[in-house]
Amino acid sequence: METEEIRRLIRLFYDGESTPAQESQLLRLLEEADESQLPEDMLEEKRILMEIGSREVPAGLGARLEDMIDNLAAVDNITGAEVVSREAAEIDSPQTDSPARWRMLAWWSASVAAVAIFVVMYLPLAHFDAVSLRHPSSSGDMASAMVIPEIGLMARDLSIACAETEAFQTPAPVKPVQSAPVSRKHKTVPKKQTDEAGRGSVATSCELVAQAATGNGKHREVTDPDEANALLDRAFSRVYRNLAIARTSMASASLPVGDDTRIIDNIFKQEEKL
Amino acid sequence: MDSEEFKRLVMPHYRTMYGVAAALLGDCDLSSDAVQDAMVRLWEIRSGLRDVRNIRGFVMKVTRNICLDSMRRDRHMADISDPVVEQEAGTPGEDDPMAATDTLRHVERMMSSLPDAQRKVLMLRAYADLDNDEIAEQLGISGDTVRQQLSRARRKLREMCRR
Repeated sequence: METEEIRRLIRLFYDGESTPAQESQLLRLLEEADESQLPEDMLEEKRILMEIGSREVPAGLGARLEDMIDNLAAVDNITGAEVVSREAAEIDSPQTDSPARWRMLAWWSASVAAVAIFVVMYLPLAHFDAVSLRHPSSSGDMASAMVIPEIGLMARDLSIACAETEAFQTPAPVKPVQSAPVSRKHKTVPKKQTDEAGRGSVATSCELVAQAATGNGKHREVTDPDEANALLDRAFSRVYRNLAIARTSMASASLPVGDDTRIIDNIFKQEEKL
Repeated sequence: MDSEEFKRLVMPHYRTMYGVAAALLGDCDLSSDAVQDAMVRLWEIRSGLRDVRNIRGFVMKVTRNICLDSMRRDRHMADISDPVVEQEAGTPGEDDPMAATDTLRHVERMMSSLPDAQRKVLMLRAYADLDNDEIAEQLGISGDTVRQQLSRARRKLREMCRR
């Protein structure tokens, strides 16, 4: 009976009418059948059908495919982690991470810093220049530091002009006389004088030129040595007195010494008026 | 989709994929390479496989496209049925550890000698386990034509084996 079934399936097979399930059944029956029980022609068919009806794929193809899938999954896990981390870094990092944005930020920072430094350095100087001689109450130690050298220079100039070997002493108060600006136009030889207290006055070995300002703006040449000495004493007394005032003001840091320049100028102007 | 889920979905159809590749390419090694390439392609699009209703038909289609691309690309390659190559391949022996593969190659060599239409029908039935209607759909021919081509191919092979 089994032989008849095998023959029927063989007929369907070669007619092309068998289904895949019937072909699988045919091969199974041929494998399980006892060859001693099969006719001669059926043994030949069995050999042929086992050869052409084989559905075996190349050995190990299934295992190779599974290994390949595992490798693909491993690579994707590594690559995916890198992509995720890179994407996360891009999300977390600010937009300024790009090189162009960093360069722009650095440029702007440098510009702002430069402007700030310029402002910090320039403003005090501008402030001093603006108010040092016009607003005495607002000048500070910087003005004092700049004017004191000027006073020192002025005193030095006077000492050079006098070619004095003796140190200047604080002159004694003298009677107000008509003051005159001191210049070096003419030479006079003032006499050595002493005040009422017997203290030495300005050295007389220097050559000084005294000119007294007249009321009409013209200068009057002082030829009297006594008058010249008096004028000088008066001038120096005013200078020293104002220096003392300036020092007092500097101590309180309220009065700019820069005003001494104006004061000294006023000294000569007042002397001229007198 | 992880690798295990992908395997459960696709691996049951790898024999069918090989059958399609063998039907089109006619060579054992080329068919194996085509199946691997098809698996890589399916892995790349694995996220959309859950929405496919007929996985078997889909993997067959992918394999077919891979094979067609390979055929277009290798159009100028040497003929795989070169007599020199067959001679160097030798005759399979029982003691040869690769006897099974060589037998398969022998069958494939016989199949490669068949007309192209008969070979394709035979390959699809032998390796892809497709019925006549499915083969007709794959090849774009009628069911009767599939039956006739299949019958002629098997009878011719039987004659080759009896020689």
